[in-house]
Amino acid sequence: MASEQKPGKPEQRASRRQFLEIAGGSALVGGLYGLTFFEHEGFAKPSHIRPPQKASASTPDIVAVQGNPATYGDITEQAINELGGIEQFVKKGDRVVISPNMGWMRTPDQAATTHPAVIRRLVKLCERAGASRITLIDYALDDWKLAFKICGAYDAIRGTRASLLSPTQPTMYKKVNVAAAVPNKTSDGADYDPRHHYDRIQQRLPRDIIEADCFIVNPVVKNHEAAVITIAMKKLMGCIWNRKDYHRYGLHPCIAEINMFLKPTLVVTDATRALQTRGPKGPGITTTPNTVVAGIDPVALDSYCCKFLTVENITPDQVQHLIIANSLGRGQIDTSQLNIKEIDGAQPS
Amino acid sequence: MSDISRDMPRMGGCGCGGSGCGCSSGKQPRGVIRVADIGAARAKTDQAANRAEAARLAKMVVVHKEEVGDGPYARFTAEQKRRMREAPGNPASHRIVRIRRAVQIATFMLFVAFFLLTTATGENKYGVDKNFFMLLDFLNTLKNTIASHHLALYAVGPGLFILLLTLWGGRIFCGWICPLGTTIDIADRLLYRKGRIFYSKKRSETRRFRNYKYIYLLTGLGALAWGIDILAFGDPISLITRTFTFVIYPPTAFVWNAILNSADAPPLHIGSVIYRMGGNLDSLRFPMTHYYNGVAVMLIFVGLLALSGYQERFWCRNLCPYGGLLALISRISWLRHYIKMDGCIHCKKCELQSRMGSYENLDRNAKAAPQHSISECIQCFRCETICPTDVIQIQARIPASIKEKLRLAPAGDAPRPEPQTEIDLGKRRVVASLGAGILWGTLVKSSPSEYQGIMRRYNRNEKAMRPPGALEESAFVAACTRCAECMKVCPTNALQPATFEFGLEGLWTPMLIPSIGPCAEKCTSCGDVCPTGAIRPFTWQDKRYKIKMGLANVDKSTCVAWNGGRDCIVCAEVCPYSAVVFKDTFDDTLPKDPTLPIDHKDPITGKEDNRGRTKRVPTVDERLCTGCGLCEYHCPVLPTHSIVVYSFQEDRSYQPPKENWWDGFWRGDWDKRKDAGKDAQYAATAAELNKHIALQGPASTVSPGADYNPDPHPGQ
Repeated sequence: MASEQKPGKPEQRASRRQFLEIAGGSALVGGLYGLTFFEHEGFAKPSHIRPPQKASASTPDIVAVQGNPATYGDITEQAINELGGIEQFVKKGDRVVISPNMGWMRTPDQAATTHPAVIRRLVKLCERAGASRITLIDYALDDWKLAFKICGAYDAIRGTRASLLSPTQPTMYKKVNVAAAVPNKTSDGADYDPRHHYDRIQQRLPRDIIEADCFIVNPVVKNHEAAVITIAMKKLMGCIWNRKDYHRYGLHPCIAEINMFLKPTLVVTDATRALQTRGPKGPGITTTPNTVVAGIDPVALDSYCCKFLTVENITPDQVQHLIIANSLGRGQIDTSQLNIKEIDGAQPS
Repeated sequence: MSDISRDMPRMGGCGCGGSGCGCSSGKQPRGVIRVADIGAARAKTDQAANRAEAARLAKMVVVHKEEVGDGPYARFTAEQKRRMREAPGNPASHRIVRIRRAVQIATFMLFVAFFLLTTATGENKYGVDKNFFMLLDFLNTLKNTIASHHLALYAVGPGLFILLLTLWGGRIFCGWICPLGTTIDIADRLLYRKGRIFYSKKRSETRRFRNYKYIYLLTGLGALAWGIDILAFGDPISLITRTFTFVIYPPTAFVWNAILNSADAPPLHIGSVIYRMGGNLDSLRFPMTHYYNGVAVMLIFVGLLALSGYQERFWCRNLCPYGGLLALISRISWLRHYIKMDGCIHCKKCELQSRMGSYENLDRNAKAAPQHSISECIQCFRCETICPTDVIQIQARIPASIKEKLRLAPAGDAPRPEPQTEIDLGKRRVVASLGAGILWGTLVKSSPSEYQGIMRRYNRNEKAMRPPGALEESAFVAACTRCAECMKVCPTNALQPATFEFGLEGLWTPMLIPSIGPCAEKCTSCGDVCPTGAIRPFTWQDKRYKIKMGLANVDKSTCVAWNGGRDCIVCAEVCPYSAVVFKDTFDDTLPKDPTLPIDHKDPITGKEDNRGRTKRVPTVDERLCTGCGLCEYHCPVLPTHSIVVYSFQEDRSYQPPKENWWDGFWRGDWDKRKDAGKDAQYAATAAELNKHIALQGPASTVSPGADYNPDPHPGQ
């Protein structure tokens, strides 16, 4: 420690140590300055999610299978089989993210959450197709653990390799550039002013979705007090961090824009029960259409599923985010132009 | 001249070569005028220019020589003196110093572990019950009993242990256990390796500030009579816990998370690679916390470390009120320093290098024995280690006075410890300190904010809310020790240190700020960790039915739903108590639908809707609202939210459950129950809530009441 310096050449003994001290100190300071670039979140790679593909030209755009409360799992599988089977969407070794409605402390018969039988069959199908990692994501506004238990999602994944995730911490999110996916012109040639803009809304997605290969949206059909309906398109608001800005800058254009960026591989809409009033949390009037609808185009599916909302008689042209998404070219709002296959699940297909 | 310079005792250097004695320096400190320097200076100033200066310096040398004196030291040769100075001292005490250092490090690690483990991990559970070091601080327990009338029985055992330890061995707590003392020692080794910055060689300065700790303690005890706690700011365990919470943990977590973030940067995407290999980098993250007032706490902490550049352990010597209390107790302790005067060579090592400045030689010619003050000593064993002739021996013996009284030894025969310097605090200062404290207390108590607190039981500032389970305002301010454990444990970062929202006496007490974080529905952690009972323990059912932190208010002029029609229902969505209700309201600015009949009824609600001129807007049901602030936190209107929780209708009459006898006795325990007569109200609230919330799922689902775990990976 206390090494006495020789009187003859004091500088030479100190030089190396001094150099190391200065170099180390400036590296530390410089590193700390550099770290300010990564203050809150890292930069994400572009999404890996496989774009949705039809099995063949003759495959229907929308498959709606009706069943009864005992066969909710079976009609889910039947609807996916009509689209070409789960292997069409989930490849071997895929990291699959499923996004069902499960963030409310509501029982399945209150129709605010996806039915556990549908979730369970979907997870089983993904396991059968060889998915390497299955994550069920919903950003719960209620206490997430209670919500997952009460709505039945906790039991639905019991015995499977799937895991539940409510990304409630900001550190679980990565910044993404949504604005790049939004066109400046609508299909009519009119100007469109994107709400996602570098100084307006900066959006973040959970790492699990950014790194996923296959993204399956599994919503339930609900009326929504603010957004009129909440089905597949509005469901993506359960996967993002910055939801406050959506309410501030207008809910409908923002929902349409996040759908331009995040394109699910498969949409399986659970219309076995529909919440008709006081959505999205309820409790409200519920009906039981006993139907599972599957497809790859969320705009078309949401337009089709409006027919289940019978109490308020909602039609697709009342829903602004469907209209905006249609004009931006995300999907088809006019159900008369779609190839729809409606099956009674009681009979073998 | 040069001979004198070598014989001069060196300050700050014990000659141990950094090996064992615990001294912080092996070199000549800066700022000390050595006699050799004086000689050199005189050689320079022999020039005619500075002759007066040379004469002055020469006079200093003479004075200095007289002051040092040779005494019995003169009979040794220079070589013998050098060897004595550099003697390693007592090998047995070297071992004790090593043990002391190990104990210090171990208790410090334990403190850090306790600190890190105080996190919210479960409903009605927590990483650690209470921070054990808060309970070792029996000044805390004492003032808690006096000021807030809460006898915390769980803290009596650890406090009694420290009291007995002090009665036996003096301020062992300060030297061996106190995490703040260990922090100061560690900082000393890091910062002052090359000598103390503005170290004073005047020996009288060791005594100069010594009494401030007693004055602070007595003033604080005087103020405690009125229930005003000013000791909390200097209480060592509170201070170091607060410093760790505000100053040390958040920047550490911030830098660490930034390093992890940099692994996601574009060229390499290491985080992405790790995720695709099956891991998750995000699981290594520290949860980030953010606090107000961090800079003020940091300045106090840095100043406290910087004062060590003037005197070693300046804080512990001169300012620490708990140290003062232990010092008063240690006057009758048994572990004493026995000095064999015939062997002493008056090298003054003990006096100059004592960690606490507890050795003093008050004799003018330095012929007498150095006196030792046990009340200043923290039993660090350095003096025994560095004594070259081994005359200092620290031994635990039955005090001579007791021995003689019990006739265990004839009078005058029992070994007597070193002569003691008395605590030089006159009666006047004692009375003045206590009087100043009492005056302070009366001033605070007669101030308007305190008057409001007594008479109306809540604070004037409507945005200043207390955590759930908090005592009534004046009792809360008295009981809170500002240790910031509740703020450390809060999983949503909602609890923040108050600046002046609660008045001057409410500085750094916890304040619930819903716009930073909501009070999580199932969390009970702040009540669980509070060491003084200022936040009473509560269950989540208590929080739901019995406690009101405030009331949510909708600002109609900025609310999206009130102004923009149906575009936002976030507050009603998030409210776990179903207290935010959307109701149909007539709005004559909406367009009339002429096709409808004048008595048209809404198809859903069945009420008349004025030809469609109604809109659905949020209102708050004040029976169900607890003021948790979830609605305010999630409200998309920024920066001032449209639904804001104010402390209106705050209800702190909650009576804590007493499950164990060691939970202690609260102020109101001998009164009748304060919430008596409210049972019907609680039952009505519960019935109303159960209409909206299905807490129990169907029979197939698992019972939800099991545990609350913020760890967001249940299945992994």
